[in-house]
Amino acid sequence: MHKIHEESISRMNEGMNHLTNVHLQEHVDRLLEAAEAKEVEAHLRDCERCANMVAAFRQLETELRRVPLETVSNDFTNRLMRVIRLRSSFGIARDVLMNLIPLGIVLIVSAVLIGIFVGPQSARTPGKSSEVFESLNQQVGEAVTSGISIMLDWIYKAVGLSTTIPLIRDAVGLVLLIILIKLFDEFVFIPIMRKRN
Amino acid sequence: MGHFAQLVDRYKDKAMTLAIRMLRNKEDAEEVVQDSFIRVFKSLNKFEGAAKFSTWFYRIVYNACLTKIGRRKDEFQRLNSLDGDERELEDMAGPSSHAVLESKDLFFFVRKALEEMPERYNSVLSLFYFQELSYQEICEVTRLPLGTVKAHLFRARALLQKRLAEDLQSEYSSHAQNP
Repeated sequence: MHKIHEESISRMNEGMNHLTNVHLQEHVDRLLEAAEAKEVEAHLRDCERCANMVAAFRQLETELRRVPLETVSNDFTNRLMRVIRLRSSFGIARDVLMNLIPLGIVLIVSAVLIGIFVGPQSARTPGKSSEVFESLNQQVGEAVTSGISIMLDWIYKAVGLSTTIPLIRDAVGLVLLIILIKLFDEFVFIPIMRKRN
Repeated sequence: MGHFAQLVDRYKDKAMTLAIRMLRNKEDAEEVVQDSFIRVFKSLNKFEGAAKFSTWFYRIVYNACLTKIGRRKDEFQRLNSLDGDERELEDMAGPSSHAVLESKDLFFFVRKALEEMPERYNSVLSLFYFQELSYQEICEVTRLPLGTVKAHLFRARALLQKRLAEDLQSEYSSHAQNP
């Protein structure tokens, strides 16, 4: 039995004839087991003080339940949904950006490597070490340009694109880039992020 | 989105009641409730069906209120200064207060007394009576042991009864002096 209840019963046995307030409150809250609740009910029939106490507890409970709920502003739900939509849009933009950054890094590194190893001689020949540092920007720039150009050529050949009209080539290149981003997102970035989470 | 709006409509006032009882400021409470719903929206996919949604949600609101209270150091000190009331709890729910309670419509006084209660008592009172959680669910929301929840709830009601008796007695006295 609960320590408080033992005390409560012992107080009764000592002739004090009253249950503790904690015990009575637990009876009101229906926390006592059936047998114990019966004992308390029996006691309440004979003890005016405890019966009054239980009545007071019950009345307080009734009054508390009568207090209405506090209300939010009338347009709360609409405002909240607007904020959520806005944050969702920002979330999508942020996700796209986050996906683009690693893809961009991969593309640039690939372009540099392809430019160095497969591109024209000027991009591949570093010359003397001092010259490499002096013309580093130029070297990397040429490597990237030739690397991207080679990669696009590979892609065009892979999809069988033979047109030489620049506008069409650029448009197709853009679409292919978007597809590439999507594929990278789906099969590389998202699985990695899921693993990390 | 539509389903979430329905969820908001269902829980917003109960959440607001808990937040106001803890923070005593409508603007702060509404901000906390809004932030809590946003957090719920973001983590709905993380919600595990093992817990009741209401318990999980009220825990988010409760924690957000505690964080807000933590930021308001002055408020915290003010709440702690009310601790002295606990020493007088032993016999405060006596028959005399019952006699006073019987004789008056208490709505106004109950609300006023609630507004003056210390936060930790108000939160368990609110969770028990307004969010209608069981003792066990209150433990889950507050992360307090069952014994502490029981003690807080008992003290809260005793303190409430004491305050009500005092308020009503002073109301009677003022009526008697100025009939």
